[in-house]
Amino acid sequence: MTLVSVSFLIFLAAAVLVYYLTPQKGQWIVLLLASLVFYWLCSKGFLIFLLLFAGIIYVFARSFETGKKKLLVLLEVAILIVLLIVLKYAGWFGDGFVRFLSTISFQKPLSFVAPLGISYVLLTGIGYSVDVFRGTVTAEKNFLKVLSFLSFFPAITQGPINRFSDLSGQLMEGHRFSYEALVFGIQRMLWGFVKKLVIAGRLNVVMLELTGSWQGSKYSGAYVVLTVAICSLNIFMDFSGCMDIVIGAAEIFGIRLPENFDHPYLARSMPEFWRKWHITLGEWLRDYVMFSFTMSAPAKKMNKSLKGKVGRKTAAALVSIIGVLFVWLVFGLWHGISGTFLLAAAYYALLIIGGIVIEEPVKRFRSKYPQFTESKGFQIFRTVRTYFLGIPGAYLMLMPQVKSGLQFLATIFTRPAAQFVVKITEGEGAGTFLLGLDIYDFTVLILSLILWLVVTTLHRKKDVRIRLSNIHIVPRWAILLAVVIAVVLFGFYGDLNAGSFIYQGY
Amino acid sequence: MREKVLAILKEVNEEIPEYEGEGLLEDGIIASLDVIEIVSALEDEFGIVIAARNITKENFATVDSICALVESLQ
Repeated sequence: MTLVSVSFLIFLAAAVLVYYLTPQKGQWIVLLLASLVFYWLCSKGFLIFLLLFAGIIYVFARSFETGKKKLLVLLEVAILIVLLIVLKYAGWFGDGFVRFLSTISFQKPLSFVAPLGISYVLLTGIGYSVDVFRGTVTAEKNFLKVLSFLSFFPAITQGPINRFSDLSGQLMEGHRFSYEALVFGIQRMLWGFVKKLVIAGRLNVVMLELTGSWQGSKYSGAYVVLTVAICSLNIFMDFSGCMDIVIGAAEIFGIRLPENFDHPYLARSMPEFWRKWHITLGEWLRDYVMFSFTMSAPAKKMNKSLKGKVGRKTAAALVSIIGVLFVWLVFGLWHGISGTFLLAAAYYALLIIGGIVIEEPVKRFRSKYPQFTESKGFQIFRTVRTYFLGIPGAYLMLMPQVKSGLQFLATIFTRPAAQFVVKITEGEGAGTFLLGLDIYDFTVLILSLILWLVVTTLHRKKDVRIRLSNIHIVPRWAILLAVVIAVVLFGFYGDLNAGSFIYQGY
Repeated sequence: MREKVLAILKEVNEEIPEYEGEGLLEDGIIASLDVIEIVSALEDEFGIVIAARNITKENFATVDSICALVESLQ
């Protein structure tokens, strides 16, 4: 079962029904059971690894009530990371080990892949542990409540990465049925289906067509720029579409999850881009990696000694750069132990560090020419510049290998462009194709992108769902019905596995 | 005390005293780089120790919340 399947919708409807028929005091148990059943339906015996992670996180958090907390938190993080590596890269440890893991999790040996959402459980769990360690939240005494927080089923596949202080209370308090929450939740999910099935499904075909086998692709030259932009847009539609489904599903239960995207393509600087793109991961890295380092005794000592030599600003910048390197190393490794992710992380780190280095000259320039730097034109330039700086990162993450990916990028200088329109006159696949899509699918893609742009622009000014609720019932339901029909008719289920999401694999 | 805190914040970033919202850290007015400078200056000025646990979006939401944090650590 995946988030974009009829079985998920049936499962969700059943869970919602039982949830609201249960007294508020016991609703969290319904959610816990639903989460465990969901996990079982998705991953069968891998459920034991979820329970193992939850058990470790629970036991360590409780142990922080005693002394030697720092040593324990480091030990916990080390155990969880080793376990994650063992599960994600079981193949490294030989066939026998894969068979062993398969046996204990009731999986066929060939189907062994990392347990669903385990990377997200790891981040959520470490966040909770560090919060308990820092004393900002109290360790939960009831294991089932910790399990309920870690396994909350809408969010377990791809996040958002929840904080215990934000989610746990909402899970435990229970909610009264609200018609508005139901309708708003369904509308949000519907929009997610449009982004995932109608748009991302087709973008994926275009992306695969453009990249070809990533080696010797027929597209080259100027198409490389288009490929880089499509890779980024594809991840955005796929991932933010999933977030709409997840956040909408949680909303039906009366639970508000944090947003993961906030119009990232409108960001005017790279730090702002990362406050708008995969927000909960950015905040997690900032709070648990960046501040853990910069507020540590050695970093403060370094800052103090540098201050006297190079000045306050430069000292802070140097300490900050070391923190940035830590952050992006964790970012790269969390996505996977591979050269492509590390290259993407290095690319982003370079951009952020570059921003730190030029910060002071830029500030001086701004205060010298305020009229120019505050003009509309300059702000648009900043947004366009950030867009073109930001999008190659997505390409670097999606390419299968560093060498072939970079070779493809190099064709921008070495080979002429291929044809935009390809006509195949004979055989089974005859027809006219634009970037791998036939004319029908290409038209649907362009029209749905225009629809996305219009809805997003309207939504920035005022929640589209509130706008909808203010209009007459007949046009309102006509619009909603039209969207449902559009998803059913134009949803791209094609050759690709529509149920899988790009970020599910990390 | 408020004047001293305000002076430190202004020296790090002139936009901070002018900011009227309630999310200095969240909205990126105070960047991670600024946090290092602010914490270092506040620790020197008031003889306090600010730890990672204190760097929350709630504590770094407004000038007032930063003042309240300093006060609680004194």
